[in-house]
Amino acid sequence: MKNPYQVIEANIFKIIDETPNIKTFVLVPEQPLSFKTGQFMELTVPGLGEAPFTPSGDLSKGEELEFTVMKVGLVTDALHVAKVDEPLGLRGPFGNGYPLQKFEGKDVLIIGGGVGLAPLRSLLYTLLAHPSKYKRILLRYGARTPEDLLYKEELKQWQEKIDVLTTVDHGDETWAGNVGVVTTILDDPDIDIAQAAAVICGPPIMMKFVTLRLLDLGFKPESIYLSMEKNMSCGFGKCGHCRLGNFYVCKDGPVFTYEKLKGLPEIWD
Amino acid sequence: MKEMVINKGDMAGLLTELAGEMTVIAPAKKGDNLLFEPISDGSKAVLDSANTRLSPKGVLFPQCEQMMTFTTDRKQARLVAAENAGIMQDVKPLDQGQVIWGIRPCDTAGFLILDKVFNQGGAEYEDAYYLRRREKTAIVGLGCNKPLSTCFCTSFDNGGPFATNGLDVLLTEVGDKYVVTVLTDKGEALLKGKNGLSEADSASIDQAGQIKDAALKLVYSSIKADKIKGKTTMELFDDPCWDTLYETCMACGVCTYSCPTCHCFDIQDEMIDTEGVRMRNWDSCMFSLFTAHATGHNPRPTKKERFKQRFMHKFKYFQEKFDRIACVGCGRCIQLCPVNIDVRQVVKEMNR
Repeated sequence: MKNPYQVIEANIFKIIDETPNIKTFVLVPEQPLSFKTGQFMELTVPGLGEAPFTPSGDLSKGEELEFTVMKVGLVTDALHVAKVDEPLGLRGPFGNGYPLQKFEGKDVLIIGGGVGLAPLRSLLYTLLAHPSKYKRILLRYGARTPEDLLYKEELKQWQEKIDVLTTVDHGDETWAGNVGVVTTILDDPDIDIAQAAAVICGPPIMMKFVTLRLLDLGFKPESIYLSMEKNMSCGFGKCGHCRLGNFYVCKDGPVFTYEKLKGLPEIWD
Repeated sequence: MKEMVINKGDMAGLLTELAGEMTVIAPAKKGDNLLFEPISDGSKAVLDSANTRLSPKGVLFPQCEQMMTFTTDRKQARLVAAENAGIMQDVKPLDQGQVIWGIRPCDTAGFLILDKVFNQGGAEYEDAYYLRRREKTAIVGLGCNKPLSTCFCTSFDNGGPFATNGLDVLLTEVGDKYVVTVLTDKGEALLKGKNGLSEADSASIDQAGQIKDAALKLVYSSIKADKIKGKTTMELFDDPCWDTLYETCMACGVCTYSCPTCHCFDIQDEMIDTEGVRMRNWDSCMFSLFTAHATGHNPRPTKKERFKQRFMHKFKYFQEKFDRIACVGCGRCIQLCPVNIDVRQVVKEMNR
């Protein structure tokens, strides 16, 4: 019997500082893993436990997996003091991932908040590998302050290829861009709303107001894709932590259309 | 189906004989409590008492269990890895078979519900720890001649005090004997050639039938949950009944720990120096940490949301997913709740 709790070893190959409290870890798993963008893994720091993360890197790179991690709890505190070559554990992938076929031929509006850009970066890499499949790719990204923006160099590179708008809640003397929450940069007269898909990842409150704004703009509930976030332990629908109505976020998600969730309680909690 | 009988006086001998071949787990006194415990001396089995304090779910899904062992000593870890054992080593599964002897039909129904959860998701996502134990376990049930006032096993689809679903053998207490009904090949193999068993006489079989019919009538406590399925999730969730039902709850979690169908757990690493053990422990949706994010944000911030979750899961969400209610009517939560919260009352409100 296969044991889905079994952990494979993955060594830290490289650590990239992104913001004062977010780092990206490039891991090399001892065996290659096959992935769909948007699926997640349980990452082990031996002795401290596991936490779920969606890879943030280019999945076509094969041997490497990137995880962008905010320092926020027991496991992530330990990760933030980890050094190159340190052994970690991985199990997965779990969950459904993004339904890429549904995005084909459409305007794909990607909306991220804070560290929520991490899984969306993996999605962007996947979309940008075959840009002609999609009508347009648009990125709308908000963070608290300019220094909290993730992937600062890549944001500039993406700007040359796709339509990118960024915003911060609080600007500083270096910031010449938009100030305000991410809902303030969503209006775009050029988007063919009837033929568009919106993909959202961020803190629960941001996902709520972005969804409400998109509905106001005329997006259909079945065209709004949400990456839900809950406390998780097992990763495949057993332990009960991530229960959301009759779904497990880990197994039935983490990507849901708003259409699927709208009749359920606790979705924005 | 094969019917046999055994004198009560011969039962201890039979269990001792069985314990020589496999692990026998039966209701036995542990301190003040009656619990399902491994026994080697058959006379320790207590078969004339009602429900055990805790359900026997821990036999297949222990309250605390080791999943993996590992070391954080890099040198040692490399040695182990060189032996191809990976970064964490799976614990050894049970090496011998076991039998749960004297389980009540309600608790067996609990295992049938746990089976659904731990089996779901396809071969890739089966719960190895539960299922490895499950396949090595035979189940011998004991019908309930005298259900308790807190029992409501006839309320849902659980079959009542003599239900045979999930059993390999059913015992029916008839005077100074047990009628032993063999239900499966596993049960047949378990009892083959055991001392004390003899062919059942028709009088005993008739008597067993009468006892069964009488017991059904003794389960006078029942609840209806028939309207819950037809209500929308939001309708139930927003029902004003929750505003008061939860108020006395102390969030102690005894309902979830004693419940034969509650199956939530948490995975934690424990360390002594560089030697670690990955543990799986029962968790409870009654606890605030159950849903708390690392950021401190908690999607179910108060007792009210947590209380509601437990009943919504058992009677609504589980039913939508698996087409049955995740309650077997054993009544333990009613007996053990320190503030007398009664699941029957809660379901009555939900079913209005």
